[in-house]
Amino acid sequence: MNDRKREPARWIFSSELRDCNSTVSEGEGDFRKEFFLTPGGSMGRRVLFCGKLNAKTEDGDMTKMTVADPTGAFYVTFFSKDFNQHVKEEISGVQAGDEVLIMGRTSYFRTDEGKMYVNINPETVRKVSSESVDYWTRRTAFLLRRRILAIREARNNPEASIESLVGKGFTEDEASGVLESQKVYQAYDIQKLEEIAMTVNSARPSENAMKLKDDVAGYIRKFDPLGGVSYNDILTEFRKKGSSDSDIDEVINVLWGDGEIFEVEKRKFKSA
Amino acid sequence: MPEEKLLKISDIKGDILDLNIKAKILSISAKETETSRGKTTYHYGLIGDDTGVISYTAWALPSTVREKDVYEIKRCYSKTYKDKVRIYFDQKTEFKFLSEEIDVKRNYRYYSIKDLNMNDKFVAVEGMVRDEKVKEYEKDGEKRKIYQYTLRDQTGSIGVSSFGVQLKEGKAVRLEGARLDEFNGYYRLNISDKTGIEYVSLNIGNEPDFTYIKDIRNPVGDVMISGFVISMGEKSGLITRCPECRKKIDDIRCPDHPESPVEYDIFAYFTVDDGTDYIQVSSGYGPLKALTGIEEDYLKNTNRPPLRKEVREKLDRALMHSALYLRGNVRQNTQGLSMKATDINRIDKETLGKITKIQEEEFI
Repeated sequence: MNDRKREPARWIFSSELRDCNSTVSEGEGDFRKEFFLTPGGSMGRRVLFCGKLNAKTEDGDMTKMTVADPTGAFYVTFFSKDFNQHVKEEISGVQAGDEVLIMGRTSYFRTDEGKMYVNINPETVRKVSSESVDYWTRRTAFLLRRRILAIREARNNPEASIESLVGKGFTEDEASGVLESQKVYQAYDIQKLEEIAMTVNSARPSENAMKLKDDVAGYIRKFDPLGGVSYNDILTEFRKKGSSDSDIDEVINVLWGDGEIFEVEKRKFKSA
Repeated sequence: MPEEKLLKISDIKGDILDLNIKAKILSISAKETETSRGKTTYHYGLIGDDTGVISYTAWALPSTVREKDVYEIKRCYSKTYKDKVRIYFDQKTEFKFLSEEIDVKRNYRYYSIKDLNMNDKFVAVEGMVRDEKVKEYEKDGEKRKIYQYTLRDQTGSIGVSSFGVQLKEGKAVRLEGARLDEFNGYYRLNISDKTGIEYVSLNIGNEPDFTYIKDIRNPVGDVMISGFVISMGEKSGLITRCPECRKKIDDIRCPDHPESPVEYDIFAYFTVDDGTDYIQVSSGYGPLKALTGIEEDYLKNTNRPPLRKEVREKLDRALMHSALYLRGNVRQNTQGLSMKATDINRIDKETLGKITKIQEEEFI
């Protein structure tokens, strides 16, 4: 809106960030900036999200946190330095179980198999009210729905440009992010994000998720003696039974939010 | 030789060369500009016919051409500039005076108050007339009146100055051809005896509709936004003021009123992000009073003067830990647009319902 330099914070769900496997670079050397580019057309280096703080572990100068939104988890890692002591203070003010707002910069690492993970380095961490979490959830769903409409426009019209999308009521920011994302995620099934955007307004778990809950909890429990089961294994197992990824995500989130499971390591779950 | 075809103004669309029109010169203004050949003056204004009105720029204009006269104008051209078609006159353009009168169809574009912008200076707007103030001034030895109002629609409000024309306070009005200008970072509408005034029926609530920050492109009064405070200015908190001149004091006393004791006040400036964009907001004590729980007695207690750290903590707690909805006036300054809050509240279930409904309506 203004001629400002501040990097905007993107309000996106964890599942959109989790499916992100591409970045866009700008500048060179010390001025190089790397932006995440999500399948939902969000592009940035900073995110803002709300959710339930499920785990907080400290190891020397490092604090790791996982925060659950209605679609999955954000992974937050904080390294205490001289210049960010105010953030450390904010982190010490929140506990597992609190509903929190976090704004942070993103950093990326890629596995040898080419899978990309996004970590968040927090700049602001604070406890917020449940109304605030609901506000964030609904606004984020709204923003996602707008971008999905823009993606549909872009997919239906290969000649779509920033100008043509702006002419249809999208902002320049939305249009450029969506067009950029379509260069990378042409084959991505946008239906999944659409389901999230349409259903996430409801604070209660869906009927499908509630039916699956006991089965998923039982499946995870089976692997407790082995130190837990990976997220991908859970997906594979329940996909075979005909469940959708979004239902499985929701169940994991519900179990996590209820404290029935916890994350032993990144994307590996065990019964509590 | 075949007669050259005269085009109507409503038919001028896009870029046309060698254009011939019959039109009335509605206004002529001059502007000096610096070019590689030194200082030069060009003219600009409005011309009209019975189909509409269009802006022109005259790189050359015969000195005989006057306002309110009708001319057959040959060999001018039209170009699109900033998405609007404009007519240009240059050395090749010929003006033939016609001793006839033509009716001019004024066509002003309608704007919601929030969407007014300086690219369109003569506009049509609708709103509720409020807050009448009357001032007298003298011109040519004659006493005249200027009426000032606030015009509010569902998107925001704007100040209105009316020279000699009194509006009906508390009534809804449609203004055709009001002139928009900018002063001190705020927009204002001016109405004169040429402005069309029609009283209409409008349904305007007590509160403005919620606006996304991305949609605030220009100064506007009384807008409502929501969002999270993502950062707070370092100097937010307790400040001291001179009770005489109300100026903020950085020293222990006011340089203009050194005898006066200082008075404590609260000021905050912060950034609000609603997911669509962000905006700088400033607020005085009024809008923060209920939110911080800081009572006037606390600020005025001479036995226990307020503590900076304590006030800052209360501000942090009030602003940083909840989604908020804010009402205020947006102005343009050197840093861009900023809002001065007139009311700040936490988002509760009811407000959340309203915001959600507005979001949902976009997809219907």
